[in-house]
Amino acid sequence: MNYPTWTIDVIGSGWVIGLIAIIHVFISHFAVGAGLFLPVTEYFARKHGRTDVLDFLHHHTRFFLVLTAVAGATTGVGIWFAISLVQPEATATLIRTFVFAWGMEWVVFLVEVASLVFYYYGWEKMSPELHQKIGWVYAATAFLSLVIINGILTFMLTPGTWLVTRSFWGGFFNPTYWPSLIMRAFVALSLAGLWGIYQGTKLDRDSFLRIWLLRYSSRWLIPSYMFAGFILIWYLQVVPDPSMAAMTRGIATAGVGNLSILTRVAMLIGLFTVTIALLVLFGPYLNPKDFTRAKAVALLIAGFFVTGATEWSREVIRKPFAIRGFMYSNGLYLQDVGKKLNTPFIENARWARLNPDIGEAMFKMQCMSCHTLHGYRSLAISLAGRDAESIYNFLVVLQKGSENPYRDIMPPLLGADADLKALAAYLSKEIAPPPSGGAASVKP
Amino acid sequence: MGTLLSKLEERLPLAPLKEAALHKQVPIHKHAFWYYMGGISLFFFLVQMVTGVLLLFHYQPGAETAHASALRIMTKVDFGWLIRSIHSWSANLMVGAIFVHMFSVFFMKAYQKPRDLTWYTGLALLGMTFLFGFTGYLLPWDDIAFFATKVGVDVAAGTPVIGKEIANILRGGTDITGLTIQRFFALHAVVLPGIFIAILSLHLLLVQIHGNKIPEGVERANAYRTIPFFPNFLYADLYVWLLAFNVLSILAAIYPWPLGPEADILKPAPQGIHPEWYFMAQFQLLKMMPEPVAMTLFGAAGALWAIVPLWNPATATGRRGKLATYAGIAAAIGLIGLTILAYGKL
Repeated sequence: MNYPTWTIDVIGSGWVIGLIAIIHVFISHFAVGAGLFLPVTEYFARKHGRTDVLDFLHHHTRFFLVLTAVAGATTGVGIWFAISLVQPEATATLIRTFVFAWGMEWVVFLVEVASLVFYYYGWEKMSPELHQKIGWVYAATAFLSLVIINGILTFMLTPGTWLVTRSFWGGFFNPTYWPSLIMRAFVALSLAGLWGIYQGTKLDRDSFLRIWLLRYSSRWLIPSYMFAGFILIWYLQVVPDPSMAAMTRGIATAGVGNLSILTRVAMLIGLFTVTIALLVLFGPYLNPKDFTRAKAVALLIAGFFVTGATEWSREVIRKPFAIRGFMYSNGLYLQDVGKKLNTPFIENARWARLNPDIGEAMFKMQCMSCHTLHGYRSLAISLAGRDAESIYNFLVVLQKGSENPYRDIMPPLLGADADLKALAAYLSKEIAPPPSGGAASVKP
Repeated sequence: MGTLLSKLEERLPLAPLKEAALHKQVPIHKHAFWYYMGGISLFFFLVQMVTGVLLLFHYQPGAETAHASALRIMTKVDFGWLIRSIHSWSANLMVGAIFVHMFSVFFMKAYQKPRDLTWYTGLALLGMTFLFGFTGYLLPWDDIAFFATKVGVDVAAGTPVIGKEIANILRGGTDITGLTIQRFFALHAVVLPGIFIAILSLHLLLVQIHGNKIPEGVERANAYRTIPFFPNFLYADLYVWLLAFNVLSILAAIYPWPLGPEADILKPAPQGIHPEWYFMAQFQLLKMMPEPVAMTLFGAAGALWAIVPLWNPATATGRRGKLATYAGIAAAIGLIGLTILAYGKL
């Protein structure tokens, strides 16, 4: 809470990260999958003397060059830009802990892009052997970048022994590291297959290459469907208990049915995963001739949905932490809760001193990392029908430690009694402004 | 197994059907996408049947029990909320798909002989779908259902000459009461499905007999090819059904259909009460002019629309063919425009 805040209404600052990150995840997994798709397919084509396939790959490489080196790189930097504005405390911790990993990542990414550039421009200029070798370098570095980033991503959900030892490798090879890495590798292979299918539909309808490519690309999804179920079970075994509880017990059950939004999204992910398998089977694999580009786009959208929804779920099960067991999602350190809980908020938040309205400062620094007033996770909806008094009573509950029923999904609320009243007054004013513009009923 | 099949074949000769399916060809051209709309409408109807039967196991009609049982379905019955949500969303998507199907048939001039009977049966199915929607909407007996039905019955009451009688028959009296729920339930779960399935069977049979209509321009330019119905078109159809099911699931799971507080007939109507979206154009027309005039106008336009095979019987390109196309565009703009206007004025 020692940084300024960034106000994004309607979608909330979390979705700014979310939108950039989901696109980046989609692209980066494509890049990892393509890293293998290109040299493996080249190897096959050279072995069988398939010049039509080689021509296709040549053309296809250009797209991946742009995708990885431009779209992948800019969205990657975009995530950094966004998280440092939205979650400065957590970002600082990640930098302090993993600066060595990012050093490695930059080197690996540089080699990945350089080898892809050589791979693309070398189609006509290099000997087949050298070109193939460069392809393998591209495949290896693309996969290595996943190997590195996966350590940092999984650390935030399960920091493992790092919590005690503060050891780099303890945090890096944390409990969810391996299942997550294998799962992501399968996803990458599947996305490469989906992309091959899409590219195939652009070819002449009756061409031999089109039919071959659609069937060949479909097979790239087989490993996922054979093993992903087991990996998922493995992953769920090592996910922390409170996260699993959020999945099974539900977060917001009242009024919207028996299951939480997280569980409902998980159901949809399952449905879409099965759908993709059936679509690929009945579409490009069994009926390649009549498989049109519009259907391939539908398939890609389904893939995008599964990727996005899975990443979203992974973020939600991390609640209420940014780094589980270490830092809450609003930047509050777990170890500070005891000594800071009931002290005046202004003592703990330097930037709050600039804001004359302590209620607004409380909202911006403690609520806004997850909630907006009128948009995503709207407080106007959550607190509908409550006056300042009633909101205050609710805020008091958020300070009650083990008696706080929201402790598994929301951080404890810092502040003295007067701060809570100020926040209640601010929120009641914002969610239902009185017609005369007068102050709300509870004064700090 | 083989002998069992041949014994079955002796009693139920399916070989000619199989033969027909293997020989049936479906035309593929730049407008062929619209052929899927009928299939999608059928798919949503099948979803309605399955989820409707599941809801029947728990729903109890009646003034005292309707809302309580709906509430139990939403909160106590495992996945009850999901089944009800799918049922409600699927109903709306079905109406939407039928609308698109009807307009695509209209613009392809697929109502012309020999497909005119298919057109009439299709219109009957559309009318019955509206009745399904109207009768189903009341059943949860929450406040919005009650007042929206009241508005709907008032619209029907505005029909010249027979309006009042229709309204009284629908309500089972002069007011909407528990008896109305009973009536709507009987219509929704017994009478309408029986008639609907019979007409639907005839509709599908006619589609099979006459095949898909190729738009005249496409046929003249010979800009189409054909693919076998089995398995190629069937795969493609299943593909689209699966996508439709996914869209339905997203809507049902992310935006579960709400259930309001129990209807209180003594309470004043909440502000901005309005019928379902597919009745909004008519609702708006009623607000814009005296009731009998609006109902007559709407009825006359509907009747002209229905008998299009009579006034545009032959070719797509003649003077009347063009007129039909313009009429279709005018109808689409009119319906969409009135609906937007109606929502804007809520």
